[in-house]
Amino acid sequence: MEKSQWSDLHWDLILIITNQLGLIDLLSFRGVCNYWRSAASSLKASAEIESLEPRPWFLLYGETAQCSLLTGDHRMYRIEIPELAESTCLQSFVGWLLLYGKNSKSLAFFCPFSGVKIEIPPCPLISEQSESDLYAAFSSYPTDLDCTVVVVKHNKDLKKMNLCMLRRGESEWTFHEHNIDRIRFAGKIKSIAIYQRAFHFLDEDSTLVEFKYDTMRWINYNIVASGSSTSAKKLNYLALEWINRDSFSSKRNEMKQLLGIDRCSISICGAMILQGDANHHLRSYEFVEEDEEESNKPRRELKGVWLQPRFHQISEDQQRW
Amino acid sequence: MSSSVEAITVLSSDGDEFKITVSAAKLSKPLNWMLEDVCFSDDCDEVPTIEVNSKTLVKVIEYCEKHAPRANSGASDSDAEELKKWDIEFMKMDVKDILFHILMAANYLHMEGLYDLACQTAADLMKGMTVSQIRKIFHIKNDFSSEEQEQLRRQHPGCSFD
Repeated sequence: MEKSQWSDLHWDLILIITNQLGLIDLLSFRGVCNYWRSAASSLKASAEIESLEPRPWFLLYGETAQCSLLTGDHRMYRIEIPELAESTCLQSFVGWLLLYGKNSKSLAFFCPFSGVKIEIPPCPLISEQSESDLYAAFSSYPTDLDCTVVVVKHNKDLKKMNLCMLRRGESEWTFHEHNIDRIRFAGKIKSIAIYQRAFHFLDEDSTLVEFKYDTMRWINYNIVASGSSTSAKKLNYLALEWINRDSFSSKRNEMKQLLGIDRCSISICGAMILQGDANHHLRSYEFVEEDEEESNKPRRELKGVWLQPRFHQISEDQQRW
Repeated sequence: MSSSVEAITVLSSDGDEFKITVSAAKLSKPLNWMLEDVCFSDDCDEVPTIEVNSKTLVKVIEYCEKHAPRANSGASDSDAEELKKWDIEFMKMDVKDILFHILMAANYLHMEGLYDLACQTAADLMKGMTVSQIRKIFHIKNDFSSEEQEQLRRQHPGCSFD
């Protein structure tokens, strides 16, 4: 075949073109030839355009490296992600997952499409902890110099919320606890939001606990209907309404059918979905129980996570916090 | 030559002569400079050469002539809509032979609108395509080793590389 001029396009052009491609198209672009691939890598093409898409993708994992990926417009793909076979996702934000490695008992940021990983120093809170009570969140892109990660231990028997915090560049986690006995924080944490340099922990009811990570101050709030109180603070994200309407549970049959699964339980990791100038929204932590019928079939325990599809790349010095 | 000329003659890189109206030439800075040179110099017999081949230059001039009225006087929304449709039709061209040269010409002639349109067209041609379809459209040879191919296959959900 005669060499096409397209195979050594000027980088300016490659930048303009890749800026217009969503994640699947970007992956295809990277698969065309060596030159296109290395140019897209050097230009750090990340499919940012997909962040404008309001519907997050869903990644089902948990048994082997074989995962199922459901795009926002309901296309289903099989994808091999070895890192997820041994890990549990604790948070999903801006295209990064925060993973807890079962064997290593360590935390790392991970981009499931590029496969890049950023390891963070071990968190003292999770050494002896069963992962079902573990929650975590991070404040921004892990590559940002002021990114802050928190790990929270909470269950309904505890009268305290225990939190460990690490800022990028620091080697020691700091401990912070908050007495929640008086505020009736119902059972489990349902969602975690990032709002104006604070983490917001929301329960299943309408209680919100805020932790400002610069001043390390805790504040309790009650969530009220919009407009019902003039003194109420307005948030830039949609919480409870959205949780009810867009949860996995609320459309479990459709989701299970799309993913091609039947008898299984799925524990789903929370996510905060950014939406440009519009209100951001939260996807909650959920545990979807298996169906009662068909008890003769073997049971599967799967995990899932909502995510904003991005192709993140890092430089070598960013592999460790 | 007086400044009342309505069209100038230019040569393509293949040596063919083309006529372009003054208002259309204004879409490109280099063309506009040429135009001023031609209009105001005493030596008006010289025909300037544009380093774009004939096949491409025909299309570039077609684009300029179509866009000139709007660029020079502004246009209503309905005109803009009509022009958008025209652009889409205009861009239905052979990818290997013309689209690439249009991109290069738009760059060389500082025609931002045409450059963006050609980039957009190239990106649109890739959307929803498999890797092998993209290679076919853009006539690109697969130069990955089988190991690299295997790694790409694993990373790229559900895409056919064959």
